[in-house]
Amino acid sequence: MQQRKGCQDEACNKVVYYWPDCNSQRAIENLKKILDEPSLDGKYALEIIDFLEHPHLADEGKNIATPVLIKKLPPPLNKIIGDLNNKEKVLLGLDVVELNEESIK
Amino acid sequence: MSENVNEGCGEKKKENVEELKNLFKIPSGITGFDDISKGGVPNGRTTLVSGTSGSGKTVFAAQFLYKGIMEQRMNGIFVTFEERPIDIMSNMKSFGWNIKQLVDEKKWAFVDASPDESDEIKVGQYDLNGLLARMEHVIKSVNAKRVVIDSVSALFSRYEDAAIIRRELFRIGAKLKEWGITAIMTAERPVDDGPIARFGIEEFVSDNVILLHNRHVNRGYRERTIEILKFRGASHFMNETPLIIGNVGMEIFPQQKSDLSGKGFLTKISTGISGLDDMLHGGLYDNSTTLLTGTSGTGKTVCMLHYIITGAKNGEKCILIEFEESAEQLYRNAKSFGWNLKEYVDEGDVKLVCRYPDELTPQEYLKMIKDLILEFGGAQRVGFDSLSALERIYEPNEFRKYVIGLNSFLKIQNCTSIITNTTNELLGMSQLTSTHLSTISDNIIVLKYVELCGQMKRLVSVLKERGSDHKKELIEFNITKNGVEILKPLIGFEGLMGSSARKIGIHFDEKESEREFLQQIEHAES
Repeated sequence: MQQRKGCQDEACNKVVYYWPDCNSQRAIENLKKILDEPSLDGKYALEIIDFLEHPHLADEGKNIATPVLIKKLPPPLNKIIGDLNNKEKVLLGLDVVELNEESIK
Repeated sequence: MSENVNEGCGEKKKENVEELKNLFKIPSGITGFDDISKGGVPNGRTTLVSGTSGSGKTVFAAQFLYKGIMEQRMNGIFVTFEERPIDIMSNMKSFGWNIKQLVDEKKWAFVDASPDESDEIKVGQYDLNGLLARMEHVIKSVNAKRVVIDSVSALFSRYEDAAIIRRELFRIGAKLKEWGITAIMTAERPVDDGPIARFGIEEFVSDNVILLHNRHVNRGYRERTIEILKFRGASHFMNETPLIIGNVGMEIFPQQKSDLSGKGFLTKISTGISGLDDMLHGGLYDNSTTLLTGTSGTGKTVCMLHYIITGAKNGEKCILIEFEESAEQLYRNAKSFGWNLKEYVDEGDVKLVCRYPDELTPQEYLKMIKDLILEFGGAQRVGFDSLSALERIYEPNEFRKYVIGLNSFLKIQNCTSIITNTTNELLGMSQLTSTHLSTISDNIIVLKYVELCGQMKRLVSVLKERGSDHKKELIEFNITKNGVEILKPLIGFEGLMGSSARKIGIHFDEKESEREFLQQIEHAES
């Protein structure tokens, strides 16, 4: 596993949009575990938004699937959809790890 | 007296039932659709509109919303998975629909779910609650009664897991029903004759399915049609119906009105040829359709000119649609009979349209004629010269559909029309038309050549005149510098309608009609 340089230099800004249901609950739990990953070194900012309360915020990103984890920084913007049950894939989506075929499997 | 009262009640009850039935459908806003669907789109339900690429699904959906706002004051939202809202707005502008303004007025709202440049990675279980939240929010914000989802197929190709999308769309459908929303969901068919839609979409929105077709029919022509596959618990037309997408949106042309309307025949109008009027016992009934059939050169166009010029002289609105000659040619020909057709056209008494038959598709011709008559504010006399020119281009079945559609429209508009038709045989006559047009026409007049005593003579006969008596003789006529001149009946011959006429050996006064002649024979026999 390799760390991406950008992630160390600036705060990684991540947003989770969710709907209060099982998928979202699981996604938040899973994400919190993933963010404890030592390679992230605690350098992130996480915002959790409830779609039901702020539907107009969903419009901005043309989001339709939930839950969705949006990685805003460093660019490019990535969307990770689902309950985030695969740590390696999530870290890959967050550009924290380089592609490693075995870890994805 | 008491019986009458009862009857009245019964009628009222019937009306209420009728009203109740109509409550289940709401006007679609698509011209002609409410006729084929017997009332419109099922109210409070989701209807699937499926078709191949380019069959007009988005236009159907957008028109449903637009007309709903403009004509029914029912606000709507448009959920788009394919085109961006800005593209939809600019595309629909070509139909004269200012969607931007409706958006500003908070009558129309978009839920923009068109693809963006960001990557989406799927990790684990997900659902479309985000979409549902956005839809609910937007529906509330404009108080929408109508929803369009265009197209669900795009959703399936974006999220590969079809089972999840099916489940989510089913939930969305259920929510829309709960909210009392009437919705149109579009889906793409891979091929015209294949399954209703990809990904088994019809399984969850199976109540109401409309199919749009855009297919090759003949020699490079494409034809658009619409077909209602099913409306659960409601009746509708079964046939495919032609439609066109013109400059005011989508229009559907039901071939037959549910009832044969039209005012019925009251008065007769002159054909412009006095001898022919006599044969018809006073002329053609108002609002009738006449088939004028004959070989080439027998004088069909001259008869047509008589008909149109007479109308114009009487100050009637006349429309002549000409597929065989140019306007200049017609002016010249009319002039040779002493009629100034050009003047009538220039003054706007006569509308003359000269077109090559293969310039437009049958639906476009239907629309053109319809627009022409409506723009003109109705027309008393309509002439088509000739329909055979179209027959050459279109397939018989298609041609027949077209003529039936045309005929029903003319009846509804209370036009009296003459349609000319060219037969192939020079002398004999095995059939009137090759496409069974005779049953839809009220009157049939035959012009033909006959070889008699080494001369080619023209003769005219009235084969049929609905609701009126007419002369049955075969009557000779000439085309002179004054136009058609009806001469005497050709009596004393037989086989005139066939290819070999011959004199029969009985001599009698030529002024007597054939019927009287037969009566004489009968009398002699008894």
